[in-house]
Amino acid sequence: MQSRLLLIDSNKAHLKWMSRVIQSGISEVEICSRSSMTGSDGEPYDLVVMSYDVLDTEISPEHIMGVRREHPNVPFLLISSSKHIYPKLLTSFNDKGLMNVLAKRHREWARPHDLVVTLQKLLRRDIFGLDKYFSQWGIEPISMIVRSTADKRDVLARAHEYTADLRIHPRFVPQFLTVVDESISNALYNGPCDDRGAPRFAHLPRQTTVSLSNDEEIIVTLRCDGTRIGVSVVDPFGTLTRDTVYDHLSKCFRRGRDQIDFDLGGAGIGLYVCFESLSHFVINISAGKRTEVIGLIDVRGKYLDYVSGGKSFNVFETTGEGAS
Amino acid sequence: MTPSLRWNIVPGSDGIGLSLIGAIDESTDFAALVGQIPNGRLVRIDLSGIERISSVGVRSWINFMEKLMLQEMQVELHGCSVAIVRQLSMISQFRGHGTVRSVFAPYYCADCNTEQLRLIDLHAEVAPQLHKPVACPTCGADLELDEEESLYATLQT
Repeated sequence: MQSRLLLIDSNKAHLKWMSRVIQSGISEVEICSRSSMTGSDGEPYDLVVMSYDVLDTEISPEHIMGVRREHPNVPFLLISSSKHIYPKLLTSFNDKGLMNVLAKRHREWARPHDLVVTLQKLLRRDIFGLDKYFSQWGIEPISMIVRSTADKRDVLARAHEYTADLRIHPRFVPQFLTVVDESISNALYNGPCDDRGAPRFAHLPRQTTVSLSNDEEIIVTLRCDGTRIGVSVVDPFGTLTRDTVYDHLSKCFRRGRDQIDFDLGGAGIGLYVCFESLSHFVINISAGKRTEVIGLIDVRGKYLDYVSGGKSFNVFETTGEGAS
Repeated sequence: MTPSLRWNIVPGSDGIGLSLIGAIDESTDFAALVGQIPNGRLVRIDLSGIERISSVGVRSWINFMEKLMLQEMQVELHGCSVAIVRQLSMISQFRGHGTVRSVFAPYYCADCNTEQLRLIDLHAEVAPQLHKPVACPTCGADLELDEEESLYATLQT
């Protein structure tokens, strides 16, 4: 089925580049593009893609919201050169549909592969799988199963070995392990619910050992292709919601007294810690069926390249079981 | 559960020295540590040995700092590792009532894939300390700061 995309970018060269990448990477799309913030042919779109450059003083987060209001309920992808836009986006507008952002460098483009993958996921709803973000080549991926707190410790030890063998920048190793740790803890403690939908383990101190049954196993996959290292943590619960993600990140970006939860259970900053530790953070949700948290770190350069670069963040939802 | 954090306490006439080594996570028992710290006015915590801190570890740390505050103990944070510096920049309550005295700044050699650390005194002017040349001990190449320089100014406030 033909999909209609609206591309908005004040940089005409970037606009052309996006059109080329999309037309060569995605079948059955009709592209409408414009370089101004307003104006429409009146026809509905299946997806709006907008590019934002931090040094472009003509465009502010308010302009982005203006475009959002112009196309309500249409999936929206922002391509941004600034990671500093997140606190504003996630605290000021209470727009939970605004959680798809791809990073680009200032006056450079986004990763074409990521652009195609992200648009395909938004349009086709086939959202699950770490392999979508990697070429076929690279270090052999490894998958492990977690059914208990003890398994989590074993997986962390194995993840440590895996990353240490890659000879990536030494600072990425503990950072990656933190993401693996937080993602597994989130799946293990916050995922499982009872028959009435109440969390089974979320209230427990994280020192408490918990166990899952065989049909509740969490699958952890690690992968690296020389340009980035990735982890996928898949649970069969589908408990994490878009609202929860937004509320947690929003609370953490506000940096108020409520940034940390002091009740028993988790500290309420796990998603934020993952967000801050990654180049690209992806959350795939099939409500009540499956959640996948994907973390990617660009390991090509220095740490400074990573920390000063943009940051991609996506929340995808599907009502069906996407292929994995 | 094997604790990921070890510590060493050195009582002194002008304050108590406390070194923390390893990871701060769900296995960390700060209650046991508080029970071992002798009474005193000042605790100097050496954080150079902290490699990683989980979200639950962040909360444990904040609770630990609050306990020291309730015991009217001043806290100085010395030699904050890069892992601690990240937390200081991300978590508003991480510093608590403590004073950050010094941090380690990283310098990276891409050829040798090794990191050199330089201790930065936050009670002195930071920029000249950061810009002082650092050579890779393996290949001798000049190394550049591998972190955003502006980060260190925010830690001084």
